[in-house]
Amino acid sequence: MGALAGSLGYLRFLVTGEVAHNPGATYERALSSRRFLPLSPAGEPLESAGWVPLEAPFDDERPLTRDLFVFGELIAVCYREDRYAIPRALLKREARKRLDKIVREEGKDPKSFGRAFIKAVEAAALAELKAKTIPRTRLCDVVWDTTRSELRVFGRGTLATERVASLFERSFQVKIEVGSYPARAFALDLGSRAAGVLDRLAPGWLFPDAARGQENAADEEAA
Amino acid sequence: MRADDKDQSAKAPPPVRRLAEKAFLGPEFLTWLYFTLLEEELELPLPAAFAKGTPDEETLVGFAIGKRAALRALDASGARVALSGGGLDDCGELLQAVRRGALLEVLALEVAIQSRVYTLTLRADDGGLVGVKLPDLFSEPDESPDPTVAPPDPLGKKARKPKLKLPLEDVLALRMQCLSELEAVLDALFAQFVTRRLARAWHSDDLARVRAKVAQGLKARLAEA
Repeated sequence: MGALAGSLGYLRFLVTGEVAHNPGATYERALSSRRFLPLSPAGEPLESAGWVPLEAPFDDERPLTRDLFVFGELIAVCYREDRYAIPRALLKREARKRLDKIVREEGKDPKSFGRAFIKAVEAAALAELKAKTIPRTRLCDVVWDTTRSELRVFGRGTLATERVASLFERSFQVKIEVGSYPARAFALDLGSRAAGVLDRLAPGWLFPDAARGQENAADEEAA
Repeated sequence: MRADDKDQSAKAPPPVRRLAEKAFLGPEFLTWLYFTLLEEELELPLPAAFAKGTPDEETLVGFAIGKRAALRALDASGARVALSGGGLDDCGELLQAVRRGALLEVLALEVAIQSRVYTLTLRADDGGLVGVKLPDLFSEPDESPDPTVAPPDPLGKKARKPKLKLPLEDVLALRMQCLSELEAVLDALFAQFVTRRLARAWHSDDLARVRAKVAQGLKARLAEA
């Protein structure tokens, strides 16, 4: 699925906006401030997302310098998203075990546990579960062809159309929209008459009788 | 109707509605493309996809229908037919689905641009491409066979060609150049479709041809049966 190896699957986006005058320096600042920050089991967030170098998406210590994302007319970077997927039921069970242990070992009355105390026990159980789990990682390569004002996002679904698209717009200060067939049709240089026809265009039925459910009407009539 | 029965949800912004209203262009394009390719015997001249001054014979693009297609009915039922395997260029089920009002929403193709062959699947909903296989860009070119060495066993394990080791920048540039070439062909086809779709002759000419092709294909199958 990625841009660098194997078969490819991607969405095309149309880019509206100018490339920065000094893309290396401008985008280095923009990408560095939105660089992916790895999750820590002790930390509160359950997910983290940001940019990483295309060639080393798991090298968290490596700074995202311009030589890693500017390749002539192409700007190529990778979106990384890590998420701890811990089932709520498992967390509840672990927290319950801890509370039972406290009752057993310290002889405390379960009714005396306040809401904040239970939350703290849950947080400790969550940190322990997170330490045992490797976060689920999703990577999505993004290649912006600045000469053609087109972007290729090597991913699908809401990851590509919402999360990557939104971070890209904020990082590069441009507007993007999915290059679907309608968007491409409106982007064509058609002339005013044809553009007017396109505006009023409605779906055309190849076989209008099929739409009315009368596919065999003529045959039935003949019979 | 009670006052609170009124739909009070916010309307989508006009540009979003404008695109949503034209979502049918994707399935119509794929369906038109399928029948046009068959009609043109899977070879189309597409000078718009190449640089000016490219010789005519090099602007001829060859196609083959791939091994995957999916159709969806335009009506409220949204019935879906998924087809896979060879022979989709002459497939009764596909013709029957079109006859019943379905349009192609996924179509696998092979595209030969000059000496380079691409495999891809087009999606009508978002204009995306999946399963794109590029021509072999990184293998060392074949050398002339050494007469002293015995020829490889045709039934044996196929020897892997040595891969060129290129820097990341070159790999990226080469792969993106290939995608640009492929997209230029697809964009030229789509521009051709839109021009025809907006012309007065769409109903009398293009649709009539598709109907005739469907009728002819189904009739041939009836005769066989």
